[in-house]
Amino acid sequence: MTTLLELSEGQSGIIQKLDMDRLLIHRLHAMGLKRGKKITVLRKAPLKGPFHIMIDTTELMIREQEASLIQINSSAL
Amino acid sequence: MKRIALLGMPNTGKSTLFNRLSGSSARIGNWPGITVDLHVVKTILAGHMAELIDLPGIYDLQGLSEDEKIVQTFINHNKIDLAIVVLCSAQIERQLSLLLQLQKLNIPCVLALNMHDEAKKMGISINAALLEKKLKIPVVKTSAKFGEGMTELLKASSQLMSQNVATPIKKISPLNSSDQISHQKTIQTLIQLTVKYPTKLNDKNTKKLDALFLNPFWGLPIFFIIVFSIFQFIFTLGKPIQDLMAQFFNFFRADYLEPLFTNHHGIFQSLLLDGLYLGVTTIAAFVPIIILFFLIMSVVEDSGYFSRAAFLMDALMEKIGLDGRGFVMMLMGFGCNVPALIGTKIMRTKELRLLTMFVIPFSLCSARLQVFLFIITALFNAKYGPLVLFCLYLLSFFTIFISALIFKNQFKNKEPIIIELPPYRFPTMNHIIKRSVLEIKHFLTRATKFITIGVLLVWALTHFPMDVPIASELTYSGQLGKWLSPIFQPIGINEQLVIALIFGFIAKEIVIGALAVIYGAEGTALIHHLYSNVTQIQAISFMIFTLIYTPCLSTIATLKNESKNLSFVIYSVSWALLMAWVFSFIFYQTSLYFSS
Repeated sequence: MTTLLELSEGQSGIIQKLDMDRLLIHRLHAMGLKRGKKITVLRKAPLKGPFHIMIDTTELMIREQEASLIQINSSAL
Repeated sequence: MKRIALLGMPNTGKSTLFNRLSGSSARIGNWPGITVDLHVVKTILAGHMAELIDLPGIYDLQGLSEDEKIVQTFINHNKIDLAIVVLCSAQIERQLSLLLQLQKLNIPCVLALNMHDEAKKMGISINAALLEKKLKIPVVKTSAKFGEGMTELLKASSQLMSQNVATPIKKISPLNSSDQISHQKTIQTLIQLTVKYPTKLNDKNTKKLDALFLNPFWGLPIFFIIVFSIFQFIFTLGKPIQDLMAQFFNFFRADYLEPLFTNHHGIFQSLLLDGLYLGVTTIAAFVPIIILFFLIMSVVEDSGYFSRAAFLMDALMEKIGLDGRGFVMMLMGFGCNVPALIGTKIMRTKELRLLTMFVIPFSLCSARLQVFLFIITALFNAKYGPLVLFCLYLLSFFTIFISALIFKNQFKNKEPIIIELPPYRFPTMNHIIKRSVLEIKHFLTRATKFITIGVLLVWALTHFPMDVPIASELTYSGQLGKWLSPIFQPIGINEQLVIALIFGFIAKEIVIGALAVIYGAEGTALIHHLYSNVTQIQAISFMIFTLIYTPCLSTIATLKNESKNLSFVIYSVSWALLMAWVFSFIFYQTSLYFSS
């Protein structure tokens, strides 16, 4: 089990757990980030900037802070 | 009066749909407990007078973000007869949850599957008829951008409204986890039944454009070129229009108004011309810039580039508590602070927006530039002049960054910054023009009173008592200047210049005019007068103070309009005054020390 933080550009993983408080989970759910969904890192902004990620047809930018709370399973792919 | 709410997630084309349905008659409405402006339009539906309200785009009914709170308050305090739920067809799987949450409250809903053209292009097909049956509500495929499905949507809405269901609407209560799971299951079944996805999603254009715009090497240079071009476009086009307007206003004053009032008492004429008329023209000068700004910003926003800019600048701006979008607005402030402040609307988290609004007034706008150019030409030679100006720009950036750093904990952003990067889309002219018109209407209605009162106040200060020369040391402003001299003396600003600062409070454009009145000299004569009466060090100190102390009445009025928070405005202006004094003091005293 790793976090989204450890994926490099172009890699994907399956969301295992959202390790955060209930409200933030709710928010991420509404944006399409749910357990069991495939998440792909499209690119990372320079200077430890945000991640550009894709879930289904939705693309988001997410900061490292939040990315570190998303646990994924990259070996399944 | 029936009440129809337009609801949907961000980036679903909800506002475009609102514009389609509203024609050009939208206005800004006020609602109990809600502190932001909502667009509303009156219309007739199924023989009922109805008001259609464009609620902010939200991801979720439950959340705690500013926009979510607004929608919650609205739903809990206002009876909604019908909700038109707008979703982006290509993202139906993620967006259906909002609809289910609304249905759970017993609000009658009509579902608009918007951007169905886009979904079709991506190879996604939705069986609307089956979805309608399963959800038990009317489902209409629309494309607000091309005006498709609008009549069908209105028809479905009026049919539903005439059915007159009398189920009491529930208040929003927290979703428990069993609700959440059942929602998820419902959505899964619905999607499996009604939506067909292609084996591989077909959105090559967005991928290609992102590869260019978000390129680790080229992304930032392209970003700066784009921002620079926007800036150039707005202000090189806006300036001549502003100048033309100023010429017209002067001509109108000299040829029509002044002859009209020659027979009247001097003070009455002065009140009308130097007071009210000045106020009106001050406000009018902003109109072309605001319109141009929103024309361009709507394009940038609707195209999807704005969130890319946020992505690019985020790493840097995060350190000072802002985000990439704030950076764009801050740069726009270097043209004019007023539209930049209104433009922060796009940032949907309150603290982030307030902090951005807090720092924008320190951007060296074109009006301040005019003052600096005049003073620099008067007092510095061609060798040092540009250097002085360059340092003022540096100082402007410095004050922005230092203020953001100092206050970032006070306006601490509690929301996670997760921003959607929607596909690149071609903006539609219709939507863009309507948005600009609405923004300008809003500025005029809200700012006029505030600015007029401010102008009249300054007029009274500089014209009373009546038997002394205008703007002289004997007027109230002069007395105020004398009274304030213990404060301004240590920073090298004399009493006459204090009067100019009081004028500058209205708008920087009139500072030079004010100096002309104060010193009783114009043009080259004024330049000579300044040259022999003000030292270079004093002049720089005056410019530092002018840069920081407060941009203009219109900026303050806009701060008030947009924040809806008077104490925020007072806080912001006090900080500006304090910082202006401290920087001028440091500069003036060290320069004196080293030059002696």
